[in-house]
Amino acid sequence: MELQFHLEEFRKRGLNAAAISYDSPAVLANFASRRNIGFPLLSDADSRVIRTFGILNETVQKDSSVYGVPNPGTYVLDAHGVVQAKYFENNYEERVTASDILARQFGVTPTAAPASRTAPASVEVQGKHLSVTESSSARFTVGGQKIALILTIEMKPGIHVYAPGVEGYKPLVWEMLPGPANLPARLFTPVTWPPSKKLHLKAIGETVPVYEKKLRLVREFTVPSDELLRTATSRDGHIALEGVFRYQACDTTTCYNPESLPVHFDVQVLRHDTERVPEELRRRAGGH
Amino acid sequence: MLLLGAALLAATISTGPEVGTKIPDFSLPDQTGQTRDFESLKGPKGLVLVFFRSADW
Repeated sequence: MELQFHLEEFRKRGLNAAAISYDSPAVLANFASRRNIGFPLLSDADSRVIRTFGILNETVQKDSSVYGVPNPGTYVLDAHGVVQAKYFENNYEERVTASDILARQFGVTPTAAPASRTAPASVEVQGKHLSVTESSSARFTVGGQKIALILTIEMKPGIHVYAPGVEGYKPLVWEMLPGPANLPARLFTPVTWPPSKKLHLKAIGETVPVYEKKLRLVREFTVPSDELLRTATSRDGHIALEGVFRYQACDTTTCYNPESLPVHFDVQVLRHDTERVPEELRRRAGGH
Repeated sequence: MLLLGAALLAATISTGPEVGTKIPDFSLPDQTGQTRDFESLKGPKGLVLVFFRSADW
């Protein structure tokens, strides 16, 4: 568990950590020793506490072996058990990792990376008319997880760029490339484009969809699993994502040449727990 | 109005106790078989309590 890497940061702030699942104590003991877990793992084998909290995953069929799992999430509790904050996977920007919680709750920039190299949390690329800052919703991830890739674009005063659908100008394009990992395009969702502003250009009598000032673009990347994860991940556990951001900037009098900027994201993949608990401990469909 | 509320609820997952409220009492065995409750788990300032899917898949 990624939480293990950040235990000290929580303890420094007077917080202990504990985790609850529907696994038996034997499964949890096996997991804790394999993964060197240094905090209590609690067994809610009949999902009674999960139900008391009201977070049973209701989308799972009752006869499924995974019936009884919770909606995964994290509570930060004060010493009286009062919820100070909670982090659930409500949407792609709410992925729960301990480093996210440290960053959001305590303003801690995660440093306790499990691998040799740490990537900066965000990177700014300076273009002629605007700057592009690259960030992602989680820096540490595992195979199969979805993370949000975010471009924050800040335009210089008076500059606008064109939204998709514009005619006669080059709209913004954010393309992700296969890159050195040779990633298939299906791993990236289309970009979520915020509503644009309609700008009336008096001089030529045209109305065009534009963005001004600041703009945030989001798309999801699904970390590959299985064979593709092995080939895409570097020896030190990173996947390099490469893309290109194209724009044409204009102000009220001039339109400049179309430009393109390279964009990069670095995703660090935690080793997936491929080892399962011994056969006799495994949960069976329809019961324990 | 009731229907609209139901549709909205269906669209978001339930996330349990709200910020500012106290969590329900619980008492569960840990990986060593020892029974633990909130009082025995918390640090001086509180507890980070994670619900996860499973350690087995």
